[in-house]
Amino acid sequence: MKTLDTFALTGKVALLTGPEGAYGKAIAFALCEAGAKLFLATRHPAEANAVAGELKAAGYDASVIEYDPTCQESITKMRDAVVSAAGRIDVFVDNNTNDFTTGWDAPIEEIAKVLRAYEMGTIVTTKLVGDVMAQQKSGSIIFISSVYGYVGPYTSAFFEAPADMDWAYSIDQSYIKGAYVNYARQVSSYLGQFGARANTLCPAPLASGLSEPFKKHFSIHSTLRRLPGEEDIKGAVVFLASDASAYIAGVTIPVDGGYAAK
Amino acid sequence: MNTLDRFSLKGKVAIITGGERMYGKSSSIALCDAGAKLYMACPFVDQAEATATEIREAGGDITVVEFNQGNEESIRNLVNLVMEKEGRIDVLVNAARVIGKGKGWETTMEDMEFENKVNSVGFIMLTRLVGDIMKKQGSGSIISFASMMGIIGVEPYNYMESQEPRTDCFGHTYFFSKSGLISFTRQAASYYGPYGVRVNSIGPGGLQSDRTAPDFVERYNKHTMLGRLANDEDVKGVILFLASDASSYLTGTNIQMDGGYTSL
Repeated sequence: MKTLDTFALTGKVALLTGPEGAYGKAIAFALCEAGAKLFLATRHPAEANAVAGELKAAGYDASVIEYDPTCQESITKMRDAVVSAAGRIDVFVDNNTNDFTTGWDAPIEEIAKVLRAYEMGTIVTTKLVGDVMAQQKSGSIIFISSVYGYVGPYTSAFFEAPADMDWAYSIDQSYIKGAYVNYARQVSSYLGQFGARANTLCPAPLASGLSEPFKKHFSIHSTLRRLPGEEDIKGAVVFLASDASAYIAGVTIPVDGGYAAK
Repeated sequence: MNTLDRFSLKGKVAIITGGERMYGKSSSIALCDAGAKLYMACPFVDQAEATATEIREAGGDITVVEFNQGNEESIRNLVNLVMEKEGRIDVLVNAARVIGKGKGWETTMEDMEFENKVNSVGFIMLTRLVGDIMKKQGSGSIISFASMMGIIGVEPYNYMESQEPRTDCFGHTYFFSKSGLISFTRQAASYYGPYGVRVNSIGPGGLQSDRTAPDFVERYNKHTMLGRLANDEDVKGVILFLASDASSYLTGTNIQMDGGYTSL
């Protein structure tokens, strides 16, 4: 087999949670372009349906399943719906964590809500989907973390962009994104016994939606001197989802333009 | 562009050092079957030609260049030759390394100097010469083979026939140079990044075809998540990912390809 063919996802079934979030659309297109049959699991059906509409218009096989990541019964139903429609789950991309609390002063109730939806939701979904992968003796899980999963925000980037501090210093963001890094190792260690893998991708924030001063500072600190575009994550997703990365397990791959290398 | 097409190396010029055997051979095959025009630089021309013949028979475009990474003139000659013929270099894969007389912890200073000259000094020199060309081009990808031994120490248990302490699996310069390679990769990424040149490393685990002692394999496998050593196919995907535009926003990083060995 030619090496290029090992990147194909033809005949594989992929599940993406949080398709409406940052990078969601890029990840969905990457999986479909590589040939996967895709299920978009979401609690924001309007946004997810818009993504699915674009995928279908491009000729891809994509369907939306509405679910509530704070409810085990709902997660189970979502998982079962994928299995009953497609018979298996080969790839699970967790892009569920997108809306964090605002700023450093968020009240405890808000933090608890976010942790329940994102951290608990991710753990339960991973367990339930992982069970399917363990049974079929194959599968690849990709957690979408963030550059802020392994470094803190670069303070001076915010001197001229204080409004950006609201999201960069969301008090729970790095807690959740950082947890993915070692959680992927634990999941991969468990699922490795059954031939499945888990890894983490840590992308830099997408340029769209950021203020000009922040973009300027981030670009200077990034080794490649630019912010990422949606295209930049697609190769990494397909690489980790496919058999091209069959021996890569439990790792964290930064997609950060060299931001954390200096 | 379809994401799958971004992994292609069609029309690109690549150099690989030490590409004739083990992970190097798998990398050479991957680079060629993704469409690169490959120059394989290697001190053992006979072995390199045997690998090159296999690759040519499968349709690959490959040229063997005699090369000694311990010699500055030889390094310059390699780069000059490729530039004269092709006028550009898009991909450099540093897979060459030497191991001296293999006395482990008791390695002599003479052996250390020999290993260091090839594995560290020559590696840095070649990377700089090629990197400077890529800097002028405004594009390029440099990939170097680190090792899991660049981020962890050796597990003597894997080698143990008895409970006696071992000294032979504790070579100094290998660990020193692989760890240095990972750090130099970040430094080179930082230097060349503004010019669109990316620099990354791969940290592979043990290779099945290189380690066949059944006791070793059994012990080693228990230390991985996937329960096995790497096979000859495993490195091909990560080489293409890093060499191609599919990894356009990755630089200064080390990707562990070790079946989860270093994550346990």
